[in-house]
Amino acid sequence: MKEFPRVTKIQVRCASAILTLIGVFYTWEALQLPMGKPIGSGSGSTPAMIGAAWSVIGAYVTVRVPEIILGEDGEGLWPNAEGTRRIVMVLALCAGFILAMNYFGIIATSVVFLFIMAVAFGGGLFQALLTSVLLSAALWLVFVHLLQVRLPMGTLVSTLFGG
Amino acid sequence: MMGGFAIALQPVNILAALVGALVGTATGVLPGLGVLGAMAVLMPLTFYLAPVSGLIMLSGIYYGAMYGGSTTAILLKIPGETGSVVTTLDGYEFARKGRAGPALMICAVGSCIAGTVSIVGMSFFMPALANLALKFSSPEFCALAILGIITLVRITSPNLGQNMLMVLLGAGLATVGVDAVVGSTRFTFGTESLALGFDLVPIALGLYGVSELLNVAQSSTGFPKAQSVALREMIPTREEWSRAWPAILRGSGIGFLMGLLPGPGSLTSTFASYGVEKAIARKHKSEFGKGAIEGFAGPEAANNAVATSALIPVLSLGIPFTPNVALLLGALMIQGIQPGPLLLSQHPDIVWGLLASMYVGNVALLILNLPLVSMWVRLLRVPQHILIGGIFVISIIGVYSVRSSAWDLIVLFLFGIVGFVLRRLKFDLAPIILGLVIGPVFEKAFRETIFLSRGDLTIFFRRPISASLLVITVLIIVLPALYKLYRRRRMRGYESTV
Amino acid sequence: MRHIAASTVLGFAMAVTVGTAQAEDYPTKPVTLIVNYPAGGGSDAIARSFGKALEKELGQPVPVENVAGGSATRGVTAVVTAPADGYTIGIATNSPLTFAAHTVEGLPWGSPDTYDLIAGIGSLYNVLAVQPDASYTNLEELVAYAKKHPGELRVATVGGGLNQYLWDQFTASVGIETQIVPYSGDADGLAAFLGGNTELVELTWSGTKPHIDAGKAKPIALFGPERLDNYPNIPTFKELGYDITTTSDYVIYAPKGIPAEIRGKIQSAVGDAVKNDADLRKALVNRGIVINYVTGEELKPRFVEMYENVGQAKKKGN
Repeated sequence: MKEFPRVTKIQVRCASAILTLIGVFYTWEALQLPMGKPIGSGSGSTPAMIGAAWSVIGAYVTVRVPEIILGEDGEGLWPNAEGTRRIVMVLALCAGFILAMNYFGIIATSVVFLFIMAVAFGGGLFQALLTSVLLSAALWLVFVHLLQVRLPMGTLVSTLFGG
Repeated sequence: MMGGFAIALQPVNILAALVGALVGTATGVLPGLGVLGAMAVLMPLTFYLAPVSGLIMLSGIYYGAMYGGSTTAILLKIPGETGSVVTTLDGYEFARKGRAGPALMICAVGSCIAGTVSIVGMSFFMPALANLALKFSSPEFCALAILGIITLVRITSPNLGQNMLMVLLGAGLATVGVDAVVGSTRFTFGTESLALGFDLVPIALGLYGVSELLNVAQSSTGFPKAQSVALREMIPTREEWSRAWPAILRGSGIGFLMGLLPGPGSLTSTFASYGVEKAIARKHKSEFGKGAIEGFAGPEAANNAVATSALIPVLSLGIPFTPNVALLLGALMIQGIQPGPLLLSQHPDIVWGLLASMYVGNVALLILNLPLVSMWVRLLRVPQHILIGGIFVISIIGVYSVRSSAWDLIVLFLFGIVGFVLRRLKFDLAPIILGLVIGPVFEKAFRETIFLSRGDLTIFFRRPISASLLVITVLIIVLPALYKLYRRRRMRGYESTV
Repeated sequence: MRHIAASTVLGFAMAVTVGTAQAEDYPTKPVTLIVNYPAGGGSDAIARSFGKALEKELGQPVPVENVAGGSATRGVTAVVTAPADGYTIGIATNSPLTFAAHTVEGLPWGSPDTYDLIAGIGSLYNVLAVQPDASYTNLEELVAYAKKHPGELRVATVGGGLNQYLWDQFTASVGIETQIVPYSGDADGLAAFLGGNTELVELTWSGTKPHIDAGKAKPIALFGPERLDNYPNIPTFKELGYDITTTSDYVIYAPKGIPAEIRGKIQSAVGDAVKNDADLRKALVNRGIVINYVTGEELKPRFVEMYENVGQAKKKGN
């Protein structure tokens, strides 16, 4: 396995700086909102207080970065190349799930998603197929029938079958 | 009370309690899908039951969900309910040591003890405590929110500056969308998505659940493995018990008191209990964050105690302070019973029946869950490649089901990535949740106070409770600094005499 | 397998014959009822009782979908943007439809012309109450007191929506000055009032009623068209000379452009459910709602008027 690169102080400083900039922007937006009458009661008053503190503390944290002590769960280390590749794949799959859900319905999408995930993480083809179908069926049963949750059934499915 | 038990112990009511506890546990285990949804869906069912049976079933769901949420928090570091975010801190680490079974059992017993403490407290003090909630008004909440942030911000990491930044980030996120006081929108840039705001469920599940899944996906170690599911391995050792039960009792007390007050008691009580346990710990202080028993036994008990004592304001005043108890109130109203100051004198059978039935629901939950512990632990034996995909799908469906919104799914994954990166950079995530929950409480209370006092800020110091809360806050900030200064002086003095 | 094949063929056949045949057979599949509040609130409970009653009338399941958020406007958006085939209808109160339409940005709907009001099922009245030990015991004395002490009386109510609108209308018409303390709901407002933090409370009848019964709040007058049957002693603002009768109306609405025949079927099903379904009526009455079935056609002028009034008030406020 490849080495995990360490998180540097400069990276933490950059992250703090980004958060601070968001805070400054937030404060600016808050100041455009009404402060209310009596003053302090409007929509902008509390956000302005939050934003001011956010910007000041953000600046302080950006200047004074604490020492980075490695945590047990990989805190203080970046994932290696292989890990990053897997994360990107997982996120892409999830994005695909959300996009496909409305067209193909939640069930078909779950089956495909679970199958790809299972294969990607080292499951056998047949086992992956079996578990993805069974798990999707179980989810359907629990959420839609038992708990009566309304889930997208897919526009494609409903145009084909008239609902 | 005896009459209450006579009603609660009828077979149909025991059955209702068991069904409720089972459904509740199931919804608690499924992340995203909250107790509120389950209770709302099953409510029409209760129309066909007698009032008491219906209430028993609903309170069974309520308890079950509170307990069920901790199961996934301990096993998979995924909070099944927002109230179990704190449980992920130490419960998961404890499970990683191979003690998942005992952790679950401690939670099951702890939940039951907390429920018992709360119900006993309730039956003795209900009339007296009812008015406590009325003593707390906007200025007091404002002071309490500040005190809460100041005391809880260092709870999991010592970096005060970074933690404050995270709290403010959370509080800032909470202001996006609809302004609850005047009903207009803000920070939306004209988009409908931002008008929806950042809901607590997708953010909590993203920061904790999804970021952990990404962590598992990139590493090769994965979730904790269950070595054995034999019953012997499920039972906590004598030493584990002796550490757990004082924490459970303290957590019950904290939860009981916090449930009496309006506000997000279920989540804040867990933070408060964790803070107390960490503060008073002596021998095991270094274990916090690495699997301290007190770190999850206390918060879990607090969570369940809140679930019970939150009913006091409803039953005695008719005023529900949380959505969950508002639902119970709704169930009562549909049955034609109007909770309020007169309920106890007009319908004592309902009140005592409810109390007794809550007790029955509590015990039913314990009986139901002890055998289930080994089943839950077996969950860890499911092959990793099925588990990861499965949890993703359940989280997506769960979050979507809350308000049928694709925006919440975007928030879920956005905060999954943010949480993953921030954790790597050694930022603490718990303060974000804290800010997200306490921020709105502060804002609402602050603005109401301004309206009440017509813009006069001295109101905070003219009211005894809010003034004392603020004095405590100042002392908490100033005393440690003074103490440090004093020690430095003494050291210098010592050096000069040498 | 044969079953699936058969239903596939049937499905295609149905997809082809969509159109004229659909109106006659309506409904052939479940009708979704969208409620603009999350599961668990008062409106949700009413929606679920109503869904159960409508199910009996239509002979098809009526699942309730909670599309909450955005000051209760998101549910309206979901209804308005749904296909106008009668299989998606919504239940809401007049408050998001006429108030939030002005305050929430980026909505694809607005005036009552942009959706189709089908029917109103009932109303929730608001009540004005004072502390039981107050020196004023009726509206006349209260107004006199407020004129002598401008800005002194604080009223606990809910900000932004109907509650505040009613109070603003009243104070403007009588020419008194009070301090509104906007809370986020009945619960908070009542707690503040009962804790002695405000002198007045103006909230829904159903929320305030138990405290009136217990003697912790003294009712002054109702915002409603007529007195309540069970409480004939409480006068209405209208009788006392202030013509403010707006109530919180529960309405059934749909996207614009539903075929007339289907619209008629929904309307009569709603009417039958509201007039005859004992369970629904019980649920509504227990929630403090005055049942009053009106058709969308009768309702619309009231909505238009309210929508325009609020728009003008907002313009003046800015």
